Amino acid sequence: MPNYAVEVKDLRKFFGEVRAVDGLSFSVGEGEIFGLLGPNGAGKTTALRIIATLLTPSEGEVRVFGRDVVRDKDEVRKLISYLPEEAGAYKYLTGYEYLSFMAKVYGVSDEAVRDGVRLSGLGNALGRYVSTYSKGMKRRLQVARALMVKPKLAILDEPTSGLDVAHAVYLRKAIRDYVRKYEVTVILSSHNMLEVEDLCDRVALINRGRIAAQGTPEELMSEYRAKNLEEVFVRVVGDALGLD
Amino acid sequence: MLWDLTKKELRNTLRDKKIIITSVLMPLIIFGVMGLVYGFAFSKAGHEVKESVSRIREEGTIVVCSMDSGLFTNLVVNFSKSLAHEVRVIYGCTESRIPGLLAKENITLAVYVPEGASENLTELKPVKVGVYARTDKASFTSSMTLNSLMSAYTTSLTSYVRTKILASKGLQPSEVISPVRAEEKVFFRGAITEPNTLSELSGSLIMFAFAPLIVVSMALGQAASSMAVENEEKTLEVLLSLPISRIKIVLGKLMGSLVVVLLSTISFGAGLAIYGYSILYSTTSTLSYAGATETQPVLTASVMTNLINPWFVVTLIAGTFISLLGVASLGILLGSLAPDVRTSSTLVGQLSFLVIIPGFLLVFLDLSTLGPAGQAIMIALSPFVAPILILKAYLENIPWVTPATLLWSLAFAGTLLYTSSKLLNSERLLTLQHKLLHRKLKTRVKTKHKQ
Ligand SMILES: Nc1ncnc2c1ncn2[C@@H]1O[C@H](COP(=O)(O)OP(=O)(O)OP(=O)(O)O)[C@@H](O)[C@H]1O
Ligand SMILES: [Mg+2]
Repeated sequence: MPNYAVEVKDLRKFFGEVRAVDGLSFSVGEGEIFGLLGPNGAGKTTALRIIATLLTPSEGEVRVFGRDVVRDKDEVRKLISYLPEEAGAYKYLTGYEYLSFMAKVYGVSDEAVRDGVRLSGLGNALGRYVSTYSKGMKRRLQVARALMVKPKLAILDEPTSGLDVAHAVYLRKAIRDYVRKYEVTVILSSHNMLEVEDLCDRVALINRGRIAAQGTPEELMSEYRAKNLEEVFVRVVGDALGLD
Repeated sequence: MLWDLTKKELRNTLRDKKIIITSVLMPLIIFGVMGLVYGFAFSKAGHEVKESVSRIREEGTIVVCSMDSGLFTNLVVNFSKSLAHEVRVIYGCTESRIPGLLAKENITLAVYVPEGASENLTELKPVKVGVYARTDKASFTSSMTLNSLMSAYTTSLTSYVRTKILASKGLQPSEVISPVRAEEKVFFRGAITEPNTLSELSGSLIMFAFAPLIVVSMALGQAASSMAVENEEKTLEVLLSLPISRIKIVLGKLMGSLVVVLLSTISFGAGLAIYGYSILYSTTSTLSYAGATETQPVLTASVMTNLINPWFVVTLIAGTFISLLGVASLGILLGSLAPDVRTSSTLVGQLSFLVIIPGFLLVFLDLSTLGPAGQAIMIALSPFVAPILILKAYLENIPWVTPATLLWSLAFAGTLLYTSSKLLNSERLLTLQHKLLHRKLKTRVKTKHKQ
């Protein structure tokens, strides 16, 4: 049995009547960058929250490096670092203090804080209170704090949402270099096809809580005879949405 | 780790100017300024009283309106002459003429002597005189001046008349008025003390009991908002995904809130000290026409030292700490249910009766009048105001209440702490947030439709 970083088996999550995740299965290899794509409400955030131990599955099983996210919550939390779709930082901490706080929480050295400073690209602004940051600056701080602790698994829910193109490209490159260097496994969700194509080793297209298509970007493009992932997305999901 | 969490809490709260202003500066300013203003008003009023007395001497007029023409009227006139610049007597003057006199002429005081006053005097029957002052103002200072002027006039007149009667019978007033001189003493907890001391003591300590009430309410609000701010600023989801045990998260919040409460307690105490000080030192000027008033010693040292017994101090501190712990845990529970700080203060406001009602009951009710069953009920009701209960039990000498209170409030605080760390559950909180968000969106859509 190969060593998977994440194993999701027949995962279901119901919120009353709503079936947010409905029979999802996939696995992510160690060191891989894995992308979740899908329309709004497809269940990406719900799936990522379950992997991050924040929600409990209604049915099915999720393992992170072999540990069950329900039974071994505490151990899983030590292995992961989770960036929510909407994440704030403490208003009256400076960016630098926030990074130091996170380093202490994960018990990593000051070296990690220096990496965080570099990843964020925020420079002198790190000395200011977070309350003075723009939306994009806050996002960069969040991505930096999620990655700098060198988790075994980074769970990033729309990491570059709210960033302008230049910063998104910068951050994407930073993520890729950093992750390769420290052998961090990444699972991320995104609405940006270019980003996914650029960054991800493998991709799963999710619709209505289940996998609609899965593979490397190249595999998906040739399977659906598409020029790019956007076309794949529209073919797979557009059908389901009844747009064609 | 716990210290890092606490440090984060403290930074995030104490750097917020709003929090510094409301919980640290306000108590100081409110009580300090109130005390200074109050003290200023008092000394102003005291000054005003003195002024008005000398004004009467220099330019005041007292009218004696008398239906009597004998000795009593003479006594009143002679007494009034020792006070006022001018004294006029109107004989055959009915009491109904007084308003007319006061309306027309510039008169400070009008004194009415009824018919038969001198006969009453010789028969040693009391005489009822009327004392009228005029004023056009209704203010703190003027009413205080007026009151002290009139009561000083009547008490001094009484003793003046009494002295004259006794002298006419060849008696020394001091011998007759107080033929027995008693010294009243109380044996209280190993020391002889004045009975007055005991009432002053219980009075001032009961006032002291309001302090824990305020501190506990502050802790409730502070803990609730420290949790609600995590929801408001969307920091909770990250916090809950971190490798930190839930109990540590709760403890970090507790310690953070307690430090803030400690700071505001200090500021509150400083404000209160200013308040007490300026009131104490502003009421010294009182009005007296004849003779000086005696002053009473406030607290005798021996009683205080006897009262401050180590067991009491230790239980009081422990009770305060336990109550704060319990109330802050409750605050964290409440705060986690609130999407923002404003909602959390509303929730806290609605639940503050939990603290205020038992607190007020305890401040005003004597435990000893309740009987053991009533005392047990009071203990059950008061897990958040344990220090007040301990103070009362100590002063009223009901020893079993103190350990019972400590145990019960400790159990209560422990349960709340455990519950709040269990309920700090991401599943529940995220679902709650989702619902609240949807409700907001729905109402927004509805209002748009209406427009
Ligand atoms: N805590 C919750 N309680 C109830 N319903 C929820 C909750 N979280 C999500 N849902 C519902 O589950 C479904 C999936 O939501 P989810 O947030 O996982 O989608 P998503 O793929 O992340 O969408 P998006 O691209 O908009 O972020 C939606 O219908 C949503 O309304
Ligand atoms: Mg989402």
